[in-house]
Amino acid sequence: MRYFLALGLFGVLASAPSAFLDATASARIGFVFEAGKTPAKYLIEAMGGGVAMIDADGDGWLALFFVNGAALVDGPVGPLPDGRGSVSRVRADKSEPRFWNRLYRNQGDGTFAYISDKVGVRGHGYGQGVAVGDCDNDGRPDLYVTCLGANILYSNRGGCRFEDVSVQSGIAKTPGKGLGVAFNDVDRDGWPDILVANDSFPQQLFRNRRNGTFEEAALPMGIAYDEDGKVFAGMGADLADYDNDGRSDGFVNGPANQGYGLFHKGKGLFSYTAGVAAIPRMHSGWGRIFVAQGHVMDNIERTQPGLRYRETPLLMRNRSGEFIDVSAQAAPPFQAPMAARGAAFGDLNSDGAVDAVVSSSTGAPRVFRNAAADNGWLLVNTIGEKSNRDGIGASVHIIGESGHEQFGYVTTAGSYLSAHDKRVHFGLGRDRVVKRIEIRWPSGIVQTWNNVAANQIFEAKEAENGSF
Amino acid sequence: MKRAVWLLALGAFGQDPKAAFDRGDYAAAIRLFEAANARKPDCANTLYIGLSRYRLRQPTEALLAFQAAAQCDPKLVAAHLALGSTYEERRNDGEAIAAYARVLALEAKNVTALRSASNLYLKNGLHTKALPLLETLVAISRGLPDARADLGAVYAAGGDRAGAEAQFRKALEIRADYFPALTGLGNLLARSGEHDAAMPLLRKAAMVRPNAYEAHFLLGSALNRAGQFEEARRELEQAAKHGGASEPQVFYQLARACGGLGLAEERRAALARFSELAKKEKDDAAARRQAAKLVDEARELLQSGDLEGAAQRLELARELMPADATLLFRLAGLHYDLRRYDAAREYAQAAIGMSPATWLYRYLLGLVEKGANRLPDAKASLEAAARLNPSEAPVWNALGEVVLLQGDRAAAIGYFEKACALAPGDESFRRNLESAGGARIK
Repeated sequence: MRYFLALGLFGVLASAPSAFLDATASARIGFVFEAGKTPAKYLIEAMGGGVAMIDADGDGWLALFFVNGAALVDGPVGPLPDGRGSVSRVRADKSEPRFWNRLYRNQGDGTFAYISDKVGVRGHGYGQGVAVGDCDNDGRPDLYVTCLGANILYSNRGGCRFEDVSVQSGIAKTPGKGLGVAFNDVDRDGWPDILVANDSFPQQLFRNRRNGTFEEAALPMGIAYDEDGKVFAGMGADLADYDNDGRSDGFVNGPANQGYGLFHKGKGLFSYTAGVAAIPRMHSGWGRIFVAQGHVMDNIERTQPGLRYRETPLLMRNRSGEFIDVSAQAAPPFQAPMAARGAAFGDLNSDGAVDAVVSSSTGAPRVFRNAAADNGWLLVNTIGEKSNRDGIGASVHIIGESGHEQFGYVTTAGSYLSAHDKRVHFGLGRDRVVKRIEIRWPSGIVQTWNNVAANQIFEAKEAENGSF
Repeated sequence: MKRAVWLLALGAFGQDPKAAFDRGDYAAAIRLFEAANARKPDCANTLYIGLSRYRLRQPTEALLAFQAAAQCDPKLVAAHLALGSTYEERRNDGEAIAAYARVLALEAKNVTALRSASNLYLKNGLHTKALPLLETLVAISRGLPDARADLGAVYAAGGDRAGAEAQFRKALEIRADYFPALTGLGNLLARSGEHDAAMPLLRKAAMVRPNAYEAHFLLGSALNRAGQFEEARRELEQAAKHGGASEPQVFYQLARACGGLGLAEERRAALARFSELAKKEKDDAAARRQAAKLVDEARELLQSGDLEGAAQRLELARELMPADATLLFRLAGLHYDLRRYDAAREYAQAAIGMSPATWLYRYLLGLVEKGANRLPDAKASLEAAARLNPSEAPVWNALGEVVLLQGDRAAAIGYFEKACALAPGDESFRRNLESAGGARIK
């Protein structure tokens, strides 16, 4: 049984009130996910699609990128040798504009504007997930879109222009059945690699060859199959260091009956670690949990009355490590059910509070604006030098003036099909100064900063012997 | 074993087994039962006719008789059991399960039906269906290690680790060297990280069945998990040697062991073999799906009378599944119907090459050769079919026709007489016998 959970864990101090507002209408996002539903009810129709937060043009405001489906056409792909019939197969047709992927510019006033179809991201195939990462370390975040078939790598050329480099990068050479996707520097060479979760297909790991090309190396790296050498139905993907050894481990979740795969990264290879229910996001302070959810079957109520196709989002408050469901007391957006799929988290309006955008399998996405105003905050924007340019994989440890310690990890992954703001968010409560920030970069460099003022986007540049 | 069960079940009627049936003279038994039925219809007699047909290796006729017996008396448990078992042998799992379900509706605690149906469910991966049957089975027959082990496997598949462990342990209490319980429990414990408890069980399994690849494979995998790569490698090499050479997972584990030992080249070679086998497995599955679709299309075309189109679809299916004897047989039959004897011969011979003990393939080849007027070859093939299954009347009849064409009237009469004896109601056999100049069968 497949049940999608797009989960966000974010650091707002426990004392802060729940203050999410439904900003969907005011955001003026005209996007509608087109699943291309057919009477045949192909599984793929129920899976998508993802959403990403990306500072596409470097203006400091997070744009929104939505992955879209396609028309599913069951038609002939070639004649039978006898000429008396044809071989038929379902194929994805994205030619109609309503099926294109879309990028919306953040106008800085709470609204978003569709740029144009000339941005270069309209796509091909049936889109599913998306990841954000700077593949070529040029300071501009790129987009990786998973599809049924060949995935797409869009290189950010600046000025909100993207170029499909899937073929020249080698990504297109190894098609799969991609869903979730995550960036991280698995071999710590300073260049981000890409993990793709594939549904009933070997998982893929694209190693960055540092020249604009990638090689698929999941099998030799030990992350393609489960511990028995069997394919499993990968859904979400994450790369993060769960055991604090400085290496990014892999996590691929699947349906309940197949379990989840946690792959520990040793000195060279990954090794499957059995018996794991979920990967912990290490030392996340007192973060809350936000879960966007919805069932895969649009008629599940008929067979399992306890389940719903459309579910209300779940909000859980963390009280010193004990999570309490506060959805019922939360703002109106939490009372409206939806067939949620992806969820991306980030500070859309640069007010220091983490907002959320939730994509739907059946239509328009929903924007949750976090209006918590009184608490202090810090957004740490890492810029790698020896490490990858985004600093993905860096661990951030802060101590507030009250002595409260929090830990963060730089990543854009961790949510089903979707990509977050890569900046690490810390809720500071009444603290107005952070006594100490320590960043452990993927390169091994450890840097510290002292007495950093709260309520700012703090740019942390990697440097040798860095202590500030 | 199943036949013995039917006979036990027959005891429930309170009727003595018929003398002819008991002494193994099944042809006579059929005649006597049919005569008895003519005098006074009796559902049990029809069942005995089915059993006799079954013993004479006439499964289709046996099935018809079992079906008639079950229709005659829907509460005749033995008829439903016989139907289930015969369908099972013919690999028609759906009909077999339906028959066992009818038995269980009549007798909820029928051990044979519970065992057979649960086995079929497990075989088809329907664990949730097997579960209640196995639970009933172990409740009423506590001394069955196989039911305990099966139940343990079902619990394990459903994530009930404690339940699985308990059942495996009970199976081992009943029989300490029961292989499925040793491997089941050993694997369960190894996957939970309880290596010290798992290893002795898996080692014992490997001793109980030293030539079974599963034991070596599971032991090797468990040793990998425990980081004992040297021994893991040895066990996995044993697994490959004892039937696991075509199992991709064996080479995946071997690669893990080699990786753990720092043997980069050996790891690469094992992974390459794994990839090759995994690809083959995947390709085979895809080919099977596509071939099944083409066979369905061929069936529809055949029903609409388009033999040519059906043959084309089967040809395409054969390209996908070149080693499928049934498909080759179907193709041979279609080409025979289209009088393309060369093609029919080629396919029939290929089917025989794969399954030389199947009388039906040799019978068809005999018909093909007869059609092509290659009478000595036809005779040889039909004689081989008759040796493999002497109870098939059409084979003797065809043999009679061939030798008659060769001018051997006396031999032909002998063959036609055999055909008529086996199928006394068949008019065409009687006519052949008469036109050959043989006596009228009464």
